[in-house]
Amino acid sequence: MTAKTIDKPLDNYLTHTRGLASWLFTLDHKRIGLMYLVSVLTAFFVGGIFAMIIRLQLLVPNGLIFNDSKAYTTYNQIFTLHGAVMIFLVLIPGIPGALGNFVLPIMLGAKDVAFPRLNLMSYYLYVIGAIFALMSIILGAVDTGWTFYTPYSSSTDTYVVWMVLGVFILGFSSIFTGLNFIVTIHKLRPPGMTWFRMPLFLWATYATALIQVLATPVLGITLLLLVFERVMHIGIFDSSYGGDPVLFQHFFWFYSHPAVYIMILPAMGIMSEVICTHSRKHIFGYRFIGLSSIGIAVIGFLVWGHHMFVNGESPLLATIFSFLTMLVAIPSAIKVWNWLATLYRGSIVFNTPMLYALSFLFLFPIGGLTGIFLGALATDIQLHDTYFLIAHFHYVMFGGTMIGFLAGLHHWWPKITGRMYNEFWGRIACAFVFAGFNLTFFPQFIMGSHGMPRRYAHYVAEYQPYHVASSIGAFLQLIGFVMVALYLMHSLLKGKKAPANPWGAATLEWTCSSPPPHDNFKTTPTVGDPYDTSNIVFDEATGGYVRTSSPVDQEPVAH
Amino acid sequence: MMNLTLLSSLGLPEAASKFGETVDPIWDLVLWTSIFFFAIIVGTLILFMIKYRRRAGHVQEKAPTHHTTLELAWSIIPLIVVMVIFVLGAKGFNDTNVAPSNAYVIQVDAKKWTFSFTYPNGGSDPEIWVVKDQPVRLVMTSEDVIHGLYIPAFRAHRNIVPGRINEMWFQATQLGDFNVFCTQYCGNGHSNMTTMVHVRSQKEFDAKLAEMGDLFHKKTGGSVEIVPFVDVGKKLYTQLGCATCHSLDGTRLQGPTWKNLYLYTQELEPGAIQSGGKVAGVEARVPTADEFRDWDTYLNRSIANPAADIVKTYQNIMPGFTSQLDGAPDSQNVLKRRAIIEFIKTLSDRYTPEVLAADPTIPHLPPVSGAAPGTAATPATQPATEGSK
Repeated sequence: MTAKTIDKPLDNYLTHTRGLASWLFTLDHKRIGLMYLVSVLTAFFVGGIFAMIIRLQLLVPNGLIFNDSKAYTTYNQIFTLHGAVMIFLVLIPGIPGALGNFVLPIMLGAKDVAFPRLNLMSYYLYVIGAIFALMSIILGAVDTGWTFYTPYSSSTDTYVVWMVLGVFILGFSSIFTGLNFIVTIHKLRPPGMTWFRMPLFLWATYATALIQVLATPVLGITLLLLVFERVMHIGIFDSSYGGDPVLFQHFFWFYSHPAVYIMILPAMGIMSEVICTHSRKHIFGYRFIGLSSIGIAVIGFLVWGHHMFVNGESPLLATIFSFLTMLVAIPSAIKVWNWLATLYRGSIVFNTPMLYALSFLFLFPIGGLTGIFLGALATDIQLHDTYFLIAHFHYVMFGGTMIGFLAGLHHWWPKITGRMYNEFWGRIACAFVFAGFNLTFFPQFIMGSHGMPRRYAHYVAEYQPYHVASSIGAFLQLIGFVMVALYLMHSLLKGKKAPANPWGAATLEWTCSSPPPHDNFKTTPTVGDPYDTSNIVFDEATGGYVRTSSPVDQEPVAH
Repeated sequence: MMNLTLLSSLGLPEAASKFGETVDPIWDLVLWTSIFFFAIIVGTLILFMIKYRRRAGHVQEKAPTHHTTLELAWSIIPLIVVMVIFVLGAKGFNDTNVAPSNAYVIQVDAKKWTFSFTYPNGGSDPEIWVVKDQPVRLVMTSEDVIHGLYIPAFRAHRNIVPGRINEMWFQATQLGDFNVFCTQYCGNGHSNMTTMVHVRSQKEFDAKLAEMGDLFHKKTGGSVEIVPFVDVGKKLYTQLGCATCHSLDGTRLQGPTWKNLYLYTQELEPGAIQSGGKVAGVEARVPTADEFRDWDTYLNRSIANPAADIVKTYQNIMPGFTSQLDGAPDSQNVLKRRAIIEFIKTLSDRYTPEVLAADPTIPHLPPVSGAAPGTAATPATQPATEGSK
């Protein structure tokens, strides 16, 4: 243990100032990121409980917990809350808010984001939005599904207005984060860091931020109109007041389809970082990966109509949206190929972040390829609103976004906390999550293609074997996540001190100590190729990696 | 066990409609394309994971960091593949989108949380009955929120949106009973909103249709129940569209309200066939047999031949209902007209129990001939979701 040589502990962002107020009013992006992380993990825990209740309920055809028609409303509230909490409180703010806030400015060699106060405000809007959503649970939870489709949402007697206002506020939080990141990336890059020398996580975050800023206002306006419809019956979405329910769906998906790219793009950014670092390889196809993020962001705006294929949408419109939907598959495919090519001739280490990244390379293609079934018109008709769709978006949103988040969480955990976690338990937990996830959601593809509709509190007995497999899988995942919680807490209390660069990565966040000092960098750092690790070698003394020469001395690597 | 089930059912369930011929080959193509690409991705992944795992004596080697030809290849080949799938999918969808003109039309009325299917003869049923190999067009409306109508075995699926008339069609190719699900979340009873489609031979279907068209008998379980005239009349009031012009609450619409019409004086426009130019009201006493008959004639005529007597201040705009409500004595049509009259009577506060007791014009059902047909209509096993309907 190097701790024997007791140096005076270095000042870091955690110890820089003390007391509750120093956290509540902090402008430090690292502290705000950490507060986001705690909040997002709490929300993930809550949303996970709802998921477990759903899986318990569906163990038997008549429903295990809510088995009379009065209780079905409770079930409907539970699946609505599972969706709303996971999407609005976990997936959307998760990677940008928690990991992005922490990592992005350091990766840029900056002392903070461009607007630290806006950043803090964004966090508090997140908290206020979460409280509104929580209030709707206490008052009488919403039973509309997370999509809030009219006229159901404008006529049900549950507390839709609270939840909708919660989401409206969360939207502002998301817009502020996006705005902040766009300005930070434009203005605070250090000398030498051109656009094509940025780490790919920044490209991904930038593309995400563009969507956040441009799409979220549409959701905000739509939700306000929904509130007006409920309260004042203005007659825009509800046919009984002369409105059109399908208009709501167009508005809603104009945001919510790009929003799935808000969720997946940052995870793709993490993938680029983790795959390179843990295979000790330079990224393959830097420009294609970076520009494909922008490609996804742009095409992602043009595909929303595929959510309405069975609504009686005009066949011409449906055909156009099907075409555009197929196009968006290509940039995602490009990324997967390039990550695979990055592994070629590498030195792949099977530690926890890399195991999650490799899981992503298994799960995300399943999510993507099953998207083709749903994008093709003839087959979508059969699969629309069935469990096939549920399985598809869980493979993308969990198998992609959450697995990417877990890869990033483990990758940057030593940087954030200054502690290593237990690698053995990390791998075991990853195996549980991976196996449990597939057991949960793969059977849902089959029962969905056989016609099992979504959002059913009980079901026809022929689907039971698939539901049982699914529920067993959910419990395996639960075991995995309990392990994660336990070893991460253990790491906080008793984990080994982390070196500055435990994995041998070349991006700037690994050049400052773990945890980073309050100001990140004393002087503006020198910038080289973010993926050239050729002069970074393992150092026995610190247990981490160190540079042998300045990055600017290296020969530039062609992209 | 479980694994065998999983493997044997990777495809869609067996198709029972003509759409299977279009959809299933596209499904197979997408499925095998996906499996092919997935095998390439995961195969490469596993190969690299084994070959390039970090181990003693292995270090990373120099490798190119970009390769334009490769990038273009793995962008353009998948692009071609998805475009082929797009074209086939869109063609399949557009080819099957429009119902043939000879399709049999069934009206669908969806509301929380039931479907009601109304057949051309006016009969309706909570389940779908169709003839094998006959194209069927569903014309669908919703009374409250968005519902979906999905028949997995038919590859047929469409939402029912309030404020719109949505249509779908299918052509069943197999006899049998198939699940129908509501797929658009509609609240508490969403998962109860399931029904069946029964595909039958023409003969069995005709028998079932005649049973449904007989509004005056309801078959429940094994016994035949007689439906009161008033209830049938009330149903016809909405079904035949009377509600558009005649209110039940005294509101003035295009036609006279039915509230307090019976036994209240009706002043008629000049040229009325009714003698005396009016139908006299009868207040606070039991009408005489002549008065009863007078009213009965007037109401019957006003339904079958509305132009004969026009109530003052109203216009001669009501269409005739000859094809629905006129015919041989004791035919379904005439019985239906009588049912509407019985319904109108009950809406008048002068139709007291004493008046009712003395009314000689109350119709009686003719004896049921050959009982209710429908041995064909053996109720199929309902899904386990049969709940509070």
